[in-house]
Amino acid sequence: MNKPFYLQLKEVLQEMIEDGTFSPGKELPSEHQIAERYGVHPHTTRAALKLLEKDGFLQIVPRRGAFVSLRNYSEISEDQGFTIPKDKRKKRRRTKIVLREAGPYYAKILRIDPRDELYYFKRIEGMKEPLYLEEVFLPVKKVPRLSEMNPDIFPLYEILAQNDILIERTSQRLKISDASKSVRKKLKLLDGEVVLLLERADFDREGPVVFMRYYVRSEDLAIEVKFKRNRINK
Amino acid sequence: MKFVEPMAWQKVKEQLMADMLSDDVKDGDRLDSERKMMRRFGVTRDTLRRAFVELRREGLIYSVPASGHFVVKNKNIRNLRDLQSLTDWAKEQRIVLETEVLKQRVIEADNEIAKRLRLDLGSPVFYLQRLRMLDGKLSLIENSHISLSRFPGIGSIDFESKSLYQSMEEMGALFSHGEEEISVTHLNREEAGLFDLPFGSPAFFLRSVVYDADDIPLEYLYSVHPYKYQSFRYDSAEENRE
Repeated sequence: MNKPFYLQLKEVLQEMIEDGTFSPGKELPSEHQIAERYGVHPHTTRAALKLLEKDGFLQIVPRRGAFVSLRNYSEISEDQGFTIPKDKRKKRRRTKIVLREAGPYYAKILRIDPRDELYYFKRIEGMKEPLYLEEVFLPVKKVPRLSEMNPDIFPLYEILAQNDILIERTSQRLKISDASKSVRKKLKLLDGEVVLLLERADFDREGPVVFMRYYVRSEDLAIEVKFKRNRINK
Repeated sequence: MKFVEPMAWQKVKEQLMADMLSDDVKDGDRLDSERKMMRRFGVTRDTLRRAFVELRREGLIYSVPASGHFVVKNKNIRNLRDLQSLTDWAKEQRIVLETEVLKQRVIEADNEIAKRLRLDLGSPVFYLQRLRMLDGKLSLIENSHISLSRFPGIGSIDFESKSLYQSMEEMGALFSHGEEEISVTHLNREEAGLFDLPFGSPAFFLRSVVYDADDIPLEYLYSVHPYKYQSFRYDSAEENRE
């Protein structure tokens, strides 16, 4: 007896994921496109994709599509240091990434050439109300194919891990800052309201990898930090 | 992917930020005159001023009319990773720490205190409010809460001359770990008066609980730090000085 179509299709797609035809982070063609290509009903495609998701090969995001899962690394140090409480039902907004020259400041911080290119993206997190604004500065040479890896779907730390970059330590600064007009507008703050400004650089064994800046609405959020006594006082 | 060029004021701001990263630039240094910088960057005065506005906003410079723009560095930066007492931190930074006890008394645990110290409502709690002066400047107000049944003798100690942590350690406390929440508050009239700042000025509001190795809360602390004097850092490893 022949295997049902959806199982056959699942196996075909799984093979294409495993051999890298669909690389980690990549978005698969739509259900309809897949259905057309293999001459099956879209329902069959959906069943195959569901099964792939169940087996951990895909991540399906409603109204966005199906994305090839990244390899999982167990130790991701995202929660080290100051942590901003996250909204679990996080909205997935499309992140617009632009390129820019590092310039003198980010070159110094990231220890790269001022003429090196950076990915720069800015996004607002929060459900109905904005909670914080995130800015990311990442050298292009660290993750040459960032946009294929869909940074709005996958956490940056997983994308870095996928590129064999393992964050080992972090250096963070927290201060209170006045908010510029554009930050106030994005975070829906009143005139004169301040923000918590968190800057963090994360390092792998070789040095700095990525620099991030968070403008946090201070009225709604407290930043948390856990600490340990790990030195004996003289 | 689109390539974007930062705005002219942004470029000036970033160049100045890069300059200020250098160890040669010290707290209070005066930046070059506006005229000189206009020449250096080839920008208009408006562009330059926009950069200054942004640098001021983030507290990286301050400006004195008719005098110039000055670098702000060496804020009180505390690393929150190590559970280092303020006393030890000040010693390490070679900052003179003075303490003035404002209030020192036994109170009954209210809801918040009881929850944080895991005590029954109304349990006796030692409450200590201290003003902390760093290099002669009032920098924070600390409100400590300690279970009196765990540290019965604590009420009779002079905390203007003795460190709270040291006293607690002498009574057998072993500080192990803790958690802290950092948010923003606005100074009330009393605090504003003490700090000599306008009523309602923004300030850091820190709330922390420190535990011993058995996860028993030892101290519940909240403190108020005017933001002009303070920032915090968290470095997961000591930085290698190059």
